[in-house]
Formats: sequence, C-alpha cells, structure tokens
Amino acid sequence: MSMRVFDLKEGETATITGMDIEGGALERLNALGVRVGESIEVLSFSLLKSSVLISCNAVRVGMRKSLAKKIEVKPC
Amino acid sequence: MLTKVKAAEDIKRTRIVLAGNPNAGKTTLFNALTGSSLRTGNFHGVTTSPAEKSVKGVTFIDVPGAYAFKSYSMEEKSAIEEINRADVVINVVDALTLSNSLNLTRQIISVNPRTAVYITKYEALKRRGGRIDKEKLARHLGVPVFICTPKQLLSQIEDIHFGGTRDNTPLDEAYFGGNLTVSKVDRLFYNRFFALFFFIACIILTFFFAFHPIMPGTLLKDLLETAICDKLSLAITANMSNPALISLVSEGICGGVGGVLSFIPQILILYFFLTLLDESGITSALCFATDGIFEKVNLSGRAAFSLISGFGCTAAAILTTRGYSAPDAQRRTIAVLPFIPCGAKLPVFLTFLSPLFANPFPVICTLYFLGLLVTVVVSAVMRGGREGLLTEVTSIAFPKLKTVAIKLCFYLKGFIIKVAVTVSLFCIVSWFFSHFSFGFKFVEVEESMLAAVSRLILPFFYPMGIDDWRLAYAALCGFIAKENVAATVAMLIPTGLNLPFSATLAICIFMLLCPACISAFSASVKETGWKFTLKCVAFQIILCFTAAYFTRLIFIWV
Repeated sequence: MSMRVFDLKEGETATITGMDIEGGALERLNALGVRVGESIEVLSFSLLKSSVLISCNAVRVGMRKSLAKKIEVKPC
Repeated sequence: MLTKVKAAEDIKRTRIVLAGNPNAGKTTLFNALTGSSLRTGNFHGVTTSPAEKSVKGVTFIDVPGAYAFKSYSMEEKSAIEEINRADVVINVVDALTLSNSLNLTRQIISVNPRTAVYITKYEALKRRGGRIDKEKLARHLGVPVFICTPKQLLSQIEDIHFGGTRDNTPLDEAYFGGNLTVSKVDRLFYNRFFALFFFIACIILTFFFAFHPIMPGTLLKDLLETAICDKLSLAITANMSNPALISLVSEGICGGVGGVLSFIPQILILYFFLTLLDESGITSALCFATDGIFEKVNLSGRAAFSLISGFGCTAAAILTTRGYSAPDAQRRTIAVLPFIPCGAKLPVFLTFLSPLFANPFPVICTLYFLGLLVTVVVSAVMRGGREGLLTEVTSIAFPKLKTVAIKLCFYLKGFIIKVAVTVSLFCIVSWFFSHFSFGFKFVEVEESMLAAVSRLILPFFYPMGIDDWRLAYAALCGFIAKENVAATVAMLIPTGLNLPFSATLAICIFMLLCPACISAFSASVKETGWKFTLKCVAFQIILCFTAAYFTRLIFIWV
C-alpha cells in the first residue's frame, strides 16, 4: 500500500510520487514548488494533528490532513 | 533591439505596479519608494487590497501577493487586475525562494512585457551561502534585474530598458539557493506546543508590563495623567474667568481627551508585542500550530492571524479576512472578531477596573482570554462552509528594531491624531450637551439635555447594576469609537467611579462583548454586506446585555 505525506513521521524525508489533487489547490502547491519528483521533509504536525508542515526545497508549506493524504510519497 | 521606457512627459502618467509572491517584500518596497507606512509583516497575506501613491508624477501600486494568475483567493484576484493594466510592473522576488517565484515572474512577463525584477532578501540569501548572478538571471528571463536599495531603484526607474531577449542561460548558472536546512530556531517554533505556549506566555508578559502597578505601563500612565489632566488643565485655566470655558477646557478637553492620551504607554506596550509577532514570523508559525483548534470551530489556522490583528484594531483585522478562500469562513471570522478586545478597549477596561482593583492585571488577562473563548464558541455554532489550510509558513527572523520603531511611531501618530480629532470633537459635543439645557442655558450636568436623553436608555442598564445615566451614555459612545468611552467617563465623572464589584464586572463584560466601533462596522459592511453585518450587531447587542445581566447576578453576593 502506497504511503501518503500524512503517514510520514516528524523528521522523515520522502520523494513525491503522485498527487491526486485538482484545481486551485494543485495550482497553489505547484506554485510553491511542491510537485511530483520533489523531495520533502515533514517538519511538524499541528495541535490535534489536523495539518502537517513540510519543507520542500526552500519553502515550508502547511496543509490540512485531507490534502496531505492525497499526496503519494516514497520514503528516502 | 532595446526599447526605452516612455518619454519624460509620459512618465507622469505611468502606473508602476509592485507584484510578486506573498511575503516577497512588496509593501516594504512600496513604503520605501513612496514614504508610506502601510502594514508589513513576516507573514503571507498581510496586504489584502491594492494601495497606491504618487511620487514625482509616478504612481506606485502595491498589490496583494499572488502565486499564480489562476487565483486561489479573493486577494489574488485584485492583484491580477492591476498587473493587467499596469504601464510597468516591478516583480518583487524573494531571493530565498527565487526558483518558485519565477513561476509567477514568467506569467507576468507573458502578460505584461514591461516587467523588471527586483530582488529582496539578498543579504539573507548570502548568509546561507547562496548567490545570484544578476546579468545571467536577466538573460535567463529576458527582463532587467535589480539588486539594489529602494532609493537606487527609484533613481533608475525612468531609465529602465525593456525589450531584452531571453537566451538559453540555465537558471542553475544564475542562481544558487545555498544551504536549505531548516534552522533550529525554526524547528523550535514549528513545534505545535512551543508556538502556542510562547504566544500565551508573551501575552501574559505583555499585560504584566502594561498593567501591573509597579511596571512601566502603569507608572508612565499615571505620570501622563497627572501632567495632562491636572497640571496642564490648571495651567491653561489659571487665567480664565468664564465658568463655562473653564469647565470645557478642564473637564471636556483636558479631562476627557487627556484621560485617553494617558493610556498611550500601555497601548504602546501592547502594540510593541503585536509588532514583534508580525515582524518575526511567529504569527505564521502560530497559524499552523493552532490549525487543529480552529478546525474544530470551522475555521483554519489563518484565523489566528486575523484574531491577533484584532488585539490591535477590529477594522484592520476584518480586512485581513480577504485572504480567505471560503466566503463562509470569512463571514464567520468577521462575526467573531468584535469579541477580541481591541487596543481601544484597553483604556475602557482600565477606567472601570482601576478604582476597584489595585492590580487589574489578573482581571485584564481574564477578560482577554474570555474574549478568545467567546470567539471560539460562537464560531463553533455558526453554520456554513469551512476553510481549509494550504499556506506557506515563513522562517522565524529577529525583527529589525528600526522597522518596529517606525511602525510604533506610525501607530502613535495615528492614535494621537484620532484622539485629537475624533475624540476631542466628541468630547466637546458631549460637554456641550451635558452642560446646556434644551433652552441652551448653562446648567448643572444633571439638568442637561444629555441627562434627559440618557435617562431614557438607563433602564436597560439597571439589571447590570448601573444606575448612573452618565455610564449608560458612556457605554453607547463606544459605537463611534471605543476611545470615547474612557474619555466620556473621565469628562462626566471627574471624581472617579464608585461602582460595586458586580456592576464593575458586568459593565466590563458588556464592553467586551458589545458591537465594535463604526470603523469596524463599515469594514464589515464592505466585506459581507448590510444584512449580515446588521444580524451580527443585533446578536452582539443581545449577547452583551444578557451576559452583563448574568455577570451581575453571579457576583452580586460578593
């Protein structure tokens, strides 16, 4: 079973292998440099674990669990 | 072939738009180019609507940040419109995230070829080992690139040459991002527990410095109050003989206006804290950390920025909601913002609490946290769609003290002007109606026009233990500007308040939950319309009276 961003633990790194996202959210992620093939690191989870903060190159992006579960990753 | 920008007489009509990703530094550049003091902050989404100013015949327009032309939020839509009709676009690019920023740069260039790139945060890039080759970047993009101070950019704007061609210079040769490792400080503030704990600790510390009897805030306030309300008043009225004039100057102006001005030290301490939060990037970290709490009440972490802004000014906080992608979430946030005590409510609380509490610090803290609690509860029960979270979180940076000082001076200037104009005028009008009868005779306050009219609304205040028409009138003055409440009390009750414990708490709860001022009302109407705003005001009126009545009931035995 494939892993998603939200399945990673704090400090873990992975490569994005797929993004099952459409519309404005996908455009925003792409504009922030979060694309298939890029490496990410999970920096933190929010209170009550509603969101995850990832680092992708020079950018830190916070996103909800629902969005993070649509991004497929392969741990490094 | 290079094309020179328009001839001298045409430049007078030039509109230069500053566009770029959020938090690139557009507003900072705008302020430097035009001598303005628009709000800035180390946060994505500070600027929510275009601002413009003309300097030497050139009009500069600062637009909200956008990541791409296909807008995700309401504020990005207005940016796109301005770029489309600009004569020249200065694309402000953050050196630290240049690779991502060029996505928008290329879109801007394709729509408006009269684009020049201005690089910000270049020193920060060099500190982490990065570099930019300006000429190679210009050839890569096909547009001029500037790495210079705003003053140097201003002197070169008239001579910008457009029409350069792109070549195959790879971006890798033009730009190296340096060490991208997340710093220890960033990791600390990204921890969900630390960010929230740090914020709460800072609030409490700020209130301690501002309100504890032995701390600078209270000591300076007392000094200022004595200087303006007592000494200045005596000095001005020493050679006056007309009792009406003496009353106007000593009670109306020095008492009322001076009473509000004396709170400046305490308000400045609060604003210092808010400015540090804004400039350091801690607000950004907090928005992420608290997202889980806001999700439970149908908002997102972005609301943290709006609520923190509300500690300063409710009207300004309402404008921050333009960055929301969901209209329902925007409305929900606007509906609850009046429950966050703004900076202007500080003098109000202190006016009511000081006669009863030698140390109002614990009560002030309680009121502020109560306001937050009511905000969360009301948001949780409001119906409507939810707001998601997809945001860039900034790095933590030590605020530049010069920037903080400039912002505080700007706020101080605005506060003094507001008090000198709005509050003064209100005090003079109130003084007139409280010292003249319907026959326009100079009378005792109890026989005045104001007394007669205010007694009509007094019954609504009886259940909260208020039987003085002057306090009922003061409470209503707050709808114009909250500063009017403290000024009115100081003017009409110069001997000081003597309310029982339950009534003091009741009126504080009333002031905490009552509708915000007319500026916030106007901002809400602009963003959500009359119908929704009036519904919110009606709810707030019912809530503030009901809560005040209950507060008195609970504490009447104390």
